[in-house]
Amino acid sequence: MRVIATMALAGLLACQFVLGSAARADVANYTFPITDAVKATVLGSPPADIHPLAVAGAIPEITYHLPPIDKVDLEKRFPKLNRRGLMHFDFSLAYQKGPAPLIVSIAGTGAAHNTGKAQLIKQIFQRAGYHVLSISSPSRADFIMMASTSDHVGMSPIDAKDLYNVMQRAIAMVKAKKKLQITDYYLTGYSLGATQGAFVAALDAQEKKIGFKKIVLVNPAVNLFTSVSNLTNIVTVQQIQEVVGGKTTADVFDPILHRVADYYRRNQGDFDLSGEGLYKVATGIDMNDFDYRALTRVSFGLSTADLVFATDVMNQYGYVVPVGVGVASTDRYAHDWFKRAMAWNFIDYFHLMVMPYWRKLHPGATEEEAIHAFSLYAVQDYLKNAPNVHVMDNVDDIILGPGDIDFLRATFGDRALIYPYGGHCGNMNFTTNVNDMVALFGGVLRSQS
Amino acid sequence: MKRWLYVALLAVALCPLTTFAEEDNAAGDRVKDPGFYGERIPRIDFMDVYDPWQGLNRGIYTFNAQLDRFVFLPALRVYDIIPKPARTGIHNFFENINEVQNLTSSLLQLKMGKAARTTGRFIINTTVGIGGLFDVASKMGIKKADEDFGQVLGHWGVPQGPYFVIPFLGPSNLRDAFGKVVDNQIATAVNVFEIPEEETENPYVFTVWALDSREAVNFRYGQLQSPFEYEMVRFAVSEARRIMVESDESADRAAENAARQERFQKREDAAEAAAYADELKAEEAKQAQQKQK
Repeated sequence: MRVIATMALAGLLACQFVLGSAARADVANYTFPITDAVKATVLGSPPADIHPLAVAGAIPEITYHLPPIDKVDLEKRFPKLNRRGLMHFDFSLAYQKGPAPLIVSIAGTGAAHNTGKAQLIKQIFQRAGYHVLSISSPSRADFIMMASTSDHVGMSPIDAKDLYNVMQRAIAMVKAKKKLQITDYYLTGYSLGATQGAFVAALDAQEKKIGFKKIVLVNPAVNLFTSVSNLTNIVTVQQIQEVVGGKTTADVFDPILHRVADYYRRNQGDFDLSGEGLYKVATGIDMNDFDYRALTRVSFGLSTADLVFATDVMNQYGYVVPVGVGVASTDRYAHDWFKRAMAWNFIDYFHLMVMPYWRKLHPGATEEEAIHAFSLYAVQDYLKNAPNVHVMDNVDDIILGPGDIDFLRATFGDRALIYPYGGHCGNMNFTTNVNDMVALFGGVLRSQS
Repeated sequence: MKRWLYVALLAVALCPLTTFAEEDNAAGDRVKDPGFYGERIPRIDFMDVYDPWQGLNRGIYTFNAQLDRFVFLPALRVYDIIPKPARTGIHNFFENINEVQNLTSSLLQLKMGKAARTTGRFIINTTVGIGGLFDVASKMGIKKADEDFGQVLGHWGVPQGPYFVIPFLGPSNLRDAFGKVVDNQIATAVNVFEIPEEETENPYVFTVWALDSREAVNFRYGQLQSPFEYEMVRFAVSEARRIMVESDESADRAAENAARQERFQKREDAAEAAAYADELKAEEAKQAQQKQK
């Protein structure tokens, strides 16, 4: 009986794979409904077009704590962390009861292991029959503080080493604590996590400490500097001042906030913070192009502030927090730190924090050389010749520059799945994309579905 | 029990008036300026919130977070054993009693439409909705008016005053904390179904009320997962309260919004035209060069 079921499933898988490929070749049939790239980036798929596997809901999962790699240093910089029970780096595992392949997932800029699209990936693949080990983005403050050897983020080869280390410790932990039965190891990542994933894959191909069999990169940053520049300049300060009439940044958000409030009053809002709830609000208050751009910029700005702050304190740069001052969130100067960190953008971070560190390791390195070393170009030879590495991306991805899609096509050949729309990761929960993503990893394994 | 909570709250609100005055930021002088602070930090001034008691507030915020982690959230997990429809019934019941607050606050702001709606809701939900267990009025399209005494004060021009994290209850400000005390006094005076009195005197009713109140708030400490959670929550709460007071008076937001988009589009078009003009010039220059050759 079981044999027949397995064969039937295998047949289904084959079908799905073939269907997936057919859809891929035929770009004209792609039906993602939002053709505005920025809007797609902010909103994601309309609720009706979300794949059933991607609909928000509970899955069996556990959060684990990894100890920090340098406790002594951390204690000096953040003296109250341990007392408040926060001195650990969290990751989460969504699991199957029986044996299954384990997909290791790297979150995108600013996302934790259990927020936003990282949670989405976890849900999709847990429901599709895989174990999923979700790791927060190295751009997050807790990664910089507790899991980074460089105490910086953005130098992809170094981030990859740190991630590889975290992955090995995390896998050992879930094997020991959960007695997880793992049949194979796969790797995925989206956005910055996809770029880092490419470097991790290259590292794993050399060191073979985990042995990833299949790797799927979703909307990677091809050139890191282009990506952060695009996001930083998606609205400029001058634009904001001209559009809102030369006043302060507050004036940008005031009308949005008022309309949100009006919306909640009209609809007697219970504050639904799920993706679907936000979608309803955003469409209900009739957000315009400028609003979408402003929201994208603010979201990126907040992520940047967190990582600038963590890097500043860990390296004692003294730009945000005075040198030698121990940090506690109860500190009365925290608001000044916050405002200073908010004044930075990622380009400043690259020039003033990343480059000095990189030059210590590579004396005389130019910024062009560094950007090359941090971007997908540096692992192009590996990616070209790795038949198990796939990429999914959108022609209108807002973090890509001219020529980046061609680079992906040239590098990955028929292992590149390029969609005409979707913005940056906006179509990750879209029916076609989820089907394709699952198909790339070998399809639905779970028998009860 | 509940009454003492509010008395304690008021006492705590008043005591730090003298002790926690803001100090000058002497530590700021020791920071290196990357060259753009002078220009950019003023742009973030809009996130400043008047918070003279922040030493105390940050302490209470941490206390509330730990209380949530070790008491409320575990208790909620037990409370969640009760099936969802029953919990919704309980929530509706307390909300129905709360209509007294919505009514008095609407009246005090001379919002007669809201007052009428609220009265209608109360009558319908109390009768057809079986003592308030079912929110029939909402299903009939009669929207709830979410008003409180803090908003009344705001409506008549009282500023929010210092930011204040209320022990057990969470982030607020002096005006709204005082408003909560008044709301509680009014509720106890009217004493609908004698529930406000029970909430005060009967520990079981108090517990259910507390659990229901916590469950209604869709927030977890640490949810923002940022080193600046306190700052962000403080900003969000202050803004939310400001907008709740203002938003009723804003009819022309849509028009302003359209105008903004138009300005943005014009600017984009102008930029595109300028870029195109540059391209043309470059092209001409090239051709001129070729001709010279």
